[in-house]
Amino acid sequence: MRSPTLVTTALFTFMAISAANAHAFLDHAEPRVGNSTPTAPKEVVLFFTQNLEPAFSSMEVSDANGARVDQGKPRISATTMRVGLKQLPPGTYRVRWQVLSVDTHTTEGNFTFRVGP
Amino acid sequence: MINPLVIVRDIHFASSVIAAGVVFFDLFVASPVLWKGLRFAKAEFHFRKAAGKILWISLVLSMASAVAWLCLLSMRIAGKTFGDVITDGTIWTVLSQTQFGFAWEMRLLFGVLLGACLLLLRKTSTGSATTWLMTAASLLAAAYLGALAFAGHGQEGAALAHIHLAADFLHLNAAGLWLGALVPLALLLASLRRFPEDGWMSAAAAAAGRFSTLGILAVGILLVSGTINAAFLLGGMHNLIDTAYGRLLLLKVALFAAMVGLAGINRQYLLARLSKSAGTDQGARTAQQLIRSALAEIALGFAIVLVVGVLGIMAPANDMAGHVH
Repeated sequence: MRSPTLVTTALFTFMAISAANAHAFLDHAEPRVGNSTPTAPKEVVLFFTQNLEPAFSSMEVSDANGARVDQGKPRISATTMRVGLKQLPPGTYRVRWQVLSVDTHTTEGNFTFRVGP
Repeated sequence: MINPLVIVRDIHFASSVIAAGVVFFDLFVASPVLWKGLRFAKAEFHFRKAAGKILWISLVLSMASAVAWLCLLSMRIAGKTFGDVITDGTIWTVLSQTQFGFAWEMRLLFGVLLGACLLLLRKTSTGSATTWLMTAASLLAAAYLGALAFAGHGQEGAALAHIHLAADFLHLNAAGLWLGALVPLALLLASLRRFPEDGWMSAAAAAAGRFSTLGILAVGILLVSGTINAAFLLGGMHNLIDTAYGRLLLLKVALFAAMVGLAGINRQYLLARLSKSAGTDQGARTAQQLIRSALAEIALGFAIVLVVGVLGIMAPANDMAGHVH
């Protein structure tokens, strides 16, 4: 406590007395966000910046008419969420996701990808 | 309108820190200082009665606010009303299928065990049994307070998450050791002063001295654990200015600086003066100044807790800087 250096450094120690919570953001996806892929993907995989809570995380994939083209409940492991797809004809598809991070914060988002030349 | 979750978090942090602090203080300061038989019988009786009340109120408040926190969180996650999260089982899903829920189950168990231990302590009169129970109570209090880390961003850091969790666990307990124990310290000093038996100033100096040593230990732990936490959360010093999270953090740092300054004055001047002038009028005045200073430190400490309640529902600076475009 006598050393100014110690005190100065100590100022930055109380900054996180407790849990300031983080959010799970989409880091990247396969197929890539907004990209085109020449062959139909068999699944959509989302990679997040935080671990997810499976009980409160979900994903849907739909075609241009709004019809679901995913195969149901996604599989979640740590920071990754994946869902199988039906056979996709060429077209534009929208992925909607909503996740709860282990830090108890909900985030959501959506993006499109395109199948075809 | 203030987010009710912020209020509940503030109440929970404050009450948990005080509950743990009273238990730590009893083991490390009050009992060793008051050990000398019935020398300070009146002061000890008054102190233990008041500290016991504060401890039980804090523990009950802490556990009640933990349940309220669980309810509000379930409502926020599901976007439903209180009635809905109870009737459709969302609250049970949060409790049984999330890491937050697991942490809460553990903490409620530790809290109940701590309560049982405290009840046993009241009925125990033999020295060795009391020491064992006090040690057990301190370990349970540390587990109860520290496990809060598992419900927060202590999870953050991927492969290094265990280091972050350990740092958070220690950080919380260091806060209990310092801020939480300040409350019973002020109470003990006030009790000794109110019932001035022979040697009360020496006892007050001994208590303040022991507490001060613990405070240095707590600051050391805060130093290491806080640096680790900041490394995980801040994402660069520029985020202290560039993000709302960082600016709020700066406010917290300023409050902490004031708290450290007061603690330094207490140790360097007031404690030294009290030790030298025990038994004189100046000693009595110094003891009164120490009590006031401890109360001021408590006020600053709980201002920090208020800031923590808000910080906890914000995204840390590294998230804000990296993802808000």
